[in-house]
Amino acid sequence: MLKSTLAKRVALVAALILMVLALGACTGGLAEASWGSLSLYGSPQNILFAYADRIVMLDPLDGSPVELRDADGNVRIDDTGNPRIWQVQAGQGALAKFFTAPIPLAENTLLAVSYDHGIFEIDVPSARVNNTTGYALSGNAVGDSLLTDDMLYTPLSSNSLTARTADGFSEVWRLTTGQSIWARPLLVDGVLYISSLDHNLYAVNAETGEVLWQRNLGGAMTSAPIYADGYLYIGTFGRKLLKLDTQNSGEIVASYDTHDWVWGSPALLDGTFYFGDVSGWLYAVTDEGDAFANVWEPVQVATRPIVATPLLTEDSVVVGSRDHNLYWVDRETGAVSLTRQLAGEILGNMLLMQPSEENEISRELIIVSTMTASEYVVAYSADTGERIWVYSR
Amino acid sequence: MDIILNPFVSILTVLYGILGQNMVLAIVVFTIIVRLLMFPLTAQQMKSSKAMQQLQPELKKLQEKYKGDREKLAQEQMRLYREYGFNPLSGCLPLLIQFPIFIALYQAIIHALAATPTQLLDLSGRLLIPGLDQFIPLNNMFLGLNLTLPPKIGAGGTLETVVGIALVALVVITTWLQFKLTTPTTAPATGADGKPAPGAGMTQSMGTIMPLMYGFFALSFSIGISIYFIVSNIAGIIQAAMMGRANFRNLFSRPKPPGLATTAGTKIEGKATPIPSKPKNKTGSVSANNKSK
Repeated sequence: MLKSTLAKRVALVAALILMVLALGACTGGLAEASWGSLSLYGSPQNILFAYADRIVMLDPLDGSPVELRDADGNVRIDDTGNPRIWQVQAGQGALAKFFTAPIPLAENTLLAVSYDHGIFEIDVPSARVNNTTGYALSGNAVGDSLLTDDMLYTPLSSNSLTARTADGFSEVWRLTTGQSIWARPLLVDGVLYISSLDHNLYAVNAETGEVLWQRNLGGAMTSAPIYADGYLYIGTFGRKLLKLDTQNSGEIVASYDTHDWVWGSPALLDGTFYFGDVSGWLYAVTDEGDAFANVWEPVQVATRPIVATPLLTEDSVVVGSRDHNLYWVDRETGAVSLTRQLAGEILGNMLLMQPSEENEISRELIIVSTMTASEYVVAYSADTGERIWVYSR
Repeated sequence: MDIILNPFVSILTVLYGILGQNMVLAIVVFTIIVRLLMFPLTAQQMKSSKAMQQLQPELKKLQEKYKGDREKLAQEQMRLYREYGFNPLSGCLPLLIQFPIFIALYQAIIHALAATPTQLLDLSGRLLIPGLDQFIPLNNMFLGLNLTLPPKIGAGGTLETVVGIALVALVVITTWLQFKLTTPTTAPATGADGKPAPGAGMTQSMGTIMPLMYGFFALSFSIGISIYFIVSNIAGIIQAAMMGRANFRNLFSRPKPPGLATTAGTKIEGKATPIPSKPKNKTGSVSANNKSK
């Protein structure tokens, strides 16, 4: 009798635990993976891929993890007799994940800012974290930090951007905004341009943190502006690409309507701005002073969001989409010339690697990351779309 | 799920705009609206639950009579249900309809608050009404607390800790109140056959575990969700009270003696509870219950 009652109560508790897990799954984003971020490091250049809770260094020739070597150049061996690869798991098991790319801090030292409140210093030759607990931040870091000779500017989800000394990371000043800051700040002539989800673009004295001006752009911004000839260009959730005059407190001098939110920064080449929106439309426009003009009519190349800034090759504009596809679009006509399907969503930034004798790379490469383990990083020939290598786990 | 979720996210955003861009007010009003819209189903479910409760004495007699003959017992139970025009599934159907709606409501709050880049990106495809872009992202701060984060008890400032503890306590208390007020009084551990009454034990366990479980949710999930839990619980209590189904005696009374199963509306402890009316063209007693007592 007692056993029966006990069994039923155990079953009830088990059912409730299952319910907890089910509801936990419903919360989705609380446990979601980060997008991953690609960057280049060293000479010869290697690819740094920061994703989930780790950073790995890849050889751009074949996508294999770089092996650690000792002072004599010999491959280091781990306890099981296998070569040690360049991989860092930040926080040593603590909750840490990366949306941002590591930044070279000094010779043989990288700075990694994790989503979960930490700045980590990594010793490159040994691939070890110098400070395993990290320097605490007051919020989640989604956007890349900007490192100058003496300062580190870190945008945070806690409605702020902090300016810290580059040597000890002590806070010098802090800008507080109405919403999160997810974009890397842009530094031009001592002025930081900071785009915020609170719809405002802030121009701030980089040294003191004094706000020089701020401009409400009518929509949230998740990407940094680009700067050209005294003007800033930025896309917003207000479904616009805007041109702002930095000499006139950010006055809007030209505006271009888009179909949907613009998430990533535009790419600029030969006077043409290329950018996508979250409905998969791709745009190519030129600045005509107080207006923008289409190079070609906008084309909906993808069925899901284009998040990352497009890459520009000699003939093509290359965009990745959440629909798992990578598209090559003719820069002159806007026609899709190539499509390559990947296993996962393309949300993180992409890299364009030039041919390099040092790297023994004979052709231009497009490096793309996805959120799917079987194709974490994939390299394509920029000209032919041929798949060169895949890094998977 | 998107077919329910996307309209919910859109309406929540509209309410946010109308209510002075206050996310807490939007969650409160939206939860109440959904609760009101679901009222006919909730009422049906409560009615069915009460009817089932009132048939218990008859069912118990059948269980005693046909002990060891499951097939016959099932036949007789079905006959009893038919006789009183009671459909045992009538309590499940409203629940089945309500469940995805409440999950969607819960998810709508999470998606609308969009704490992470992926959630914000998802939000772009969920706004079905033009012009809502101007409100994105929704302001997720309330009394200095970030609604997208779990309460920082001990880790934050004094205000954050106090409000965090208050929220968790409110979730636990309102969940317990709703459970106690809307759950029929059940018999304690033994049934007529002397064996443990599984329903009673389960109910008692649920009454303890559910509030604690929701307290755990409140500690683990975002503050916005805690607000939803509190408002939803309070709305549930008010609805039950308005229908006369809130059993305030349950708050203070101990479990009833064996064989008695009462619901809200029962006037005197220990007296017979009326069971559903028999159809007029049928004959036979419908009021004899609790004779085993």
